[in-house]
Amino acid sequence: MTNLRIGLALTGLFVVAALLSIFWTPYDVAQIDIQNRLLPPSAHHILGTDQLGRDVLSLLMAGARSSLLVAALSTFGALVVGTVLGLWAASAAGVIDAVIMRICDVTFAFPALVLAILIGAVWGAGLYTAALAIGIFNIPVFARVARAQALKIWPEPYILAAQLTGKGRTHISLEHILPQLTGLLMTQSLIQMSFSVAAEAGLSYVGLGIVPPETSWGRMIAESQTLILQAPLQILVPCLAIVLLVFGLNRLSEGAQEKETEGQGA
Amino acid sequence: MTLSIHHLKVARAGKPTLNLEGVTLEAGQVLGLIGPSGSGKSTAARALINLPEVGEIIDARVTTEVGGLQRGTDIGLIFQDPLKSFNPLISVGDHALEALRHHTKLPKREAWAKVKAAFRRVGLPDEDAFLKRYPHQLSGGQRQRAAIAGVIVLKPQWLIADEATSALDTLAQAHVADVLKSLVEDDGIGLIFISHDLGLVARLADQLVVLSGGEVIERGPTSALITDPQHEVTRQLLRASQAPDFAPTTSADGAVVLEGKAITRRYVASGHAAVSDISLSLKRGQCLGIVGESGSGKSTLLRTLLALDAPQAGAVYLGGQVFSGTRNQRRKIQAVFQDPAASFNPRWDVKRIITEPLRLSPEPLSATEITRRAEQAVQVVGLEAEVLTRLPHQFSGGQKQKIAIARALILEPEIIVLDEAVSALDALSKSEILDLLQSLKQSRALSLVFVSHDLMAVKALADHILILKEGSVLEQADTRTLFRAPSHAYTQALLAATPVI
Repeated sequence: MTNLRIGLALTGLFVVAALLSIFWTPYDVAQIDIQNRLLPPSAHHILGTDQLGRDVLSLLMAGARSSLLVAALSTFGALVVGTVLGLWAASAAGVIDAVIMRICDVTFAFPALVLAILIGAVWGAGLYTAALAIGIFNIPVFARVARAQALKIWPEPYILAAQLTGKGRTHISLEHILPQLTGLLMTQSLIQMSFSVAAEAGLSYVGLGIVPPETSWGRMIAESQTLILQAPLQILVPCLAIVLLVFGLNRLSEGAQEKETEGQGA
Repeated sequence: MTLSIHHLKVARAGKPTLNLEGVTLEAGQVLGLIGPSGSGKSTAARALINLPEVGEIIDARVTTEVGGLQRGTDIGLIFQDPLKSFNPLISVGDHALEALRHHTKLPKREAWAKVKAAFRRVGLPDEDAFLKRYPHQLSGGQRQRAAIAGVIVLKPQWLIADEATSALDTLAQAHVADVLKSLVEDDGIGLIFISHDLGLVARLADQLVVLSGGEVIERGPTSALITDPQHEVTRQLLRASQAPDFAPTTSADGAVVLEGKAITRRYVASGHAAVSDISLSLKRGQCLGIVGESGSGKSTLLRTLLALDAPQAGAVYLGGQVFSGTRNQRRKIQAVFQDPAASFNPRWDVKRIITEPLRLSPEPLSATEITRRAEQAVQVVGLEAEVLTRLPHQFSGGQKQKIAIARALILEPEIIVLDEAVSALDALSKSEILDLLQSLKQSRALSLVFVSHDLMAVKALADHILILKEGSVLEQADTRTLFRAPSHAYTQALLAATPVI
């Protein structure tokens, strides 16, 4: 229960901040005010300002939005594609199974960074490039999880009984197998989201992810790293945000898993 | 030597589950512990060797002339499932060696010699190569004998066999029973033999104790208790263990509903034939029994008969037409499987489970019609309509098997294929299911394919029997003939190994 609470609280905080940033931030994130650059925290700027005089709290809120958006898009997309592939591999078996899984292995071997460079070279860097690169990297994870669990269910006699009622493999996959994967896939999604948050920050840090005028935590770190001695807070704040969100999502996944096993035990 | 259980009381969650008093066992004798499912047999076995998983042992005084009992060295336990009692990563010889060296400080060479002697004792090879095998490389019967070797290597005076033969094929079962018997007769071990198979218990035990609801309800010498049971539960148990002998069907029209012609199916990988050149035929209202041990090709044959796999040679005909698995054909043939616990989607309620085949019905059905059919189907198998809203895990094994039969019946098929459908059930549920199948067969002219390794169950239902071994038919004959004059040596061995009361 503790895991679930901590996870909900931390993740919830960032989700609220991100949603709020759509309508309102304390200051406009695009507003440059060189005179007030690198201000320490004060009543006007709770987390101070950066080297261009932008409000750090506002940047942080807008950054949460990009971060969560990329994480959600890449995870959800991969969840759908990966689960379909995993179910298909498990139900078809044989050659199709082998081909799908080997493609997954190859994809898995490419780091998200390399994919992002490839995709970025074709379409240019940006939020969707980052989401696509991370999403592709996430697909094999879901495919493997779905396939492994489905393979456990396929030999069950009730699947045989369903086959005797003339149901095809797709029908059985959707009706008998998919509903039994939901809990597992949900916990896996949360883990992949936390991974995606970190991956997005990494891509943006090297300039392959979010590009101005959009902002992101990875960019904040990249921009403030040269000023680490003058204004350590500017680099610390986005780092801490990444750590807390990743930690929160992990706790949430852990908590969801606990709840799932509890439900089965009862 | 005498083992005296003065009293043994166990409770679980505050509720008493076992109350054993004044039971004694002499060395060199066998005490049979019988009772319906949930009567406390296994609890007694585990409490006797002081395994903590049974619940709370409230009060226990179990003594011998030389004092108390030490688990392992004085008393050993043999479990039902030999695969689960082994660590898959440790060879069977090392298992025994580990147990021995845990209890004695023998040097390795001497200990290994003792392990070899124990393997010889249970009739297994004692070469190093065999002892270095892993549990999965042994057959079920060999595995169980290896488990016994691992227990007797410590030279315990007492042994408990908890359903130790129940998961085995008939011949392996007889073999393990012989090993146990010789340990008792030649080595003077005192054995507590727990089984739901009364025929086997009667064959081995000198004394019987009947448990019900955790209490001893009857005890006495085996022969006396079996010929003249006093308690109603004992009588029920006995009745249930005697295979019913239904009259053979006098076929009314005799039309062939299912036919297999020279079916051959090979494994894709090895090319080895799982079944080869099998022909069979089933007439309306009759029951075809297929007897075979694990690995005989039963499952492959069934999958072919159900058109789940196509044969590589030969063909299956359903009502004279090649059975290819079309909707119209599937409607005529349904199946019931062995493991009642795994036969249903655990998340579906009974109504959804048993109405799943209705999608094959020729015209779309309204919701009320579906409910009506579901109610009718559970009623036919002797369950109340209220079971429809419950989940499968809320039922006992026998009830689950009835639900499985209801699912098979809901389309009113011509044929039901039963794959070891009573093998996982206790004696009472088994006889109930056999009665149910017999009455369905007669009242609805339903044709059955009844597959089992249990000859007595097959004898009860089948009009015609096919003996399967290593993928081929060894012998086939009508039931009476086969039991009166089995022509093949293997059939004769099977018959001899089948315990009868």
